[in-house]
Amino acid sequence: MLGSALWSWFNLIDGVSDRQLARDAEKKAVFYQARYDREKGRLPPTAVSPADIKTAVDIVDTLTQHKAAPLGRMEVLGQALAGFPILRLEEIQWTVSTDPQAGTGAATPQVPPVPDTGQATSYYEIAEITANVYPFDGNYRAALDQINRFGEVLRSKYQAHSVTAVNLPLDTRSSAQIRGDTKDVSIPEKAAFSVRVVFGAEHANG
Amino acid sequence: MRTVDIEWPLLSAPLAALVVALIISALLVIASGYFRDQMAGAYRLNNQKFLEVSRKYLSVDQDELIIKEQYPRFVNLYRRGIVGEEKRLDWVEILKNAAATLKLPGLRYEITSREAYSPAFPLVTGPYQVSTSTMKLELGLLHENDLASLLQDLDEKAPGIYTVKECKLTRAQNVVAEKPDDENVKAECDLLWFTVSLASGEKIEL
Repeated sequence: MLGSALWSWFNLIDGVSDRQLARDAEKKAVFYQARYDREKGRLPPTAVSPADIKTAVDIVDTLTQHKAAPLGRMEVLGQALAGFPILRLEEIQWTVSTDPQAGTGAATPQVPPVPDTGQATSYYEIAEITANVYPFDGNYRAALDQINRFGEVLRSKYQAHSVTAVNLPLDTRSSAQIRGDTKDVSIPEKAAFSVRVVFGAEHANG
Repeated sequence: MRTVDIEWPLLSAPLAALVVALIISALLVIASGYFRDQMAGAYRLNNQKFLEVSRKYLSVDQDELIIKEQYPRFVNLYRRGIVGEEKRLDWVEILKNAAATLKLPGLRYEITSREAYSPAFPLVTGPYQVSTSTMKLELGLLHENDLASLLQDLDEKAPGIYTVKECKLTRAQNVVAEKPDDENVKAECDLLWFTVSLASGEKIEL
């Protein structure tokens, strides 16, 4: 009986104390609500809350920073190709992705890992170039040399993250199969090849 | 001692008093505990209201700053069809005008239905939903610079914000033609047009 009386007493003390605190908090809430309503009344009406205005503007800023366009890289590829008059461009397929290996099919050789340049790359621009060695004199060694040098120029001069041969006029890789006939002396007019070029892109404010 | 030996008539009154005392004690503990919990709950609730309204009151200055600095941009984004409803009719008209101005040998377009956009980069959307409509363009170009001019026209005149998702440029013929209506390059590009609307479906109206 004594224990329960003591326990109840402490509960009562706690309850009364909390009731007082609750009343104080309510008074303060009413006070600040009135001041808030008055201050808010000064602000012009807006379609959405100020916080949501900022969110919408920030969304558009972020989308703008990630806006991608192919022309810059195509110009770079055009400049690089200009140094190799016998490489004649047939097609450029340009795409943008956050994955440097995006669109790599099973038949495509594995793209080497993109080296870490220390810069924040927000997305990659990937160009698959289909071209011909034209005119082609049947010298596969010279043709492959031109293609390799073209890739080297893209890497060294135009900062391509990777350049990978997808198809070559003569695939000399150990994993590939080569078939021919030494009696066949006909020379094709052109030698087709394709390469996959990956550029890293930092967003506008990056 | 057996039960029958207990003098119940003598004990009944004290026992009844004991039971009543126990019941009263229990009621006291329960009632005081209930009172304490109720008051604690009321305090938590009122204090939460107070914190919330005081936070709002303190942010009025910040809100005023946002309205002053960001709301004109928000209104501009709304008028440009980036926030709210997209302006497809304007896009089509601008495409047609650009094709006429640039004397493009061919321009076909298709705009797919709008769908939710999941960016591959971090984007805080708050109460908004970002959506995209894909504009598929098929162009016949005299020169690849025509594509640059078309995209520049869209940048400058079209209400909205877009990014180029992918683009394919193909040589249309072996010999470069000089006549303005000849197609030397074919281009196929996918443009993503963004719109920001409230995820709740509620319309934004100014």
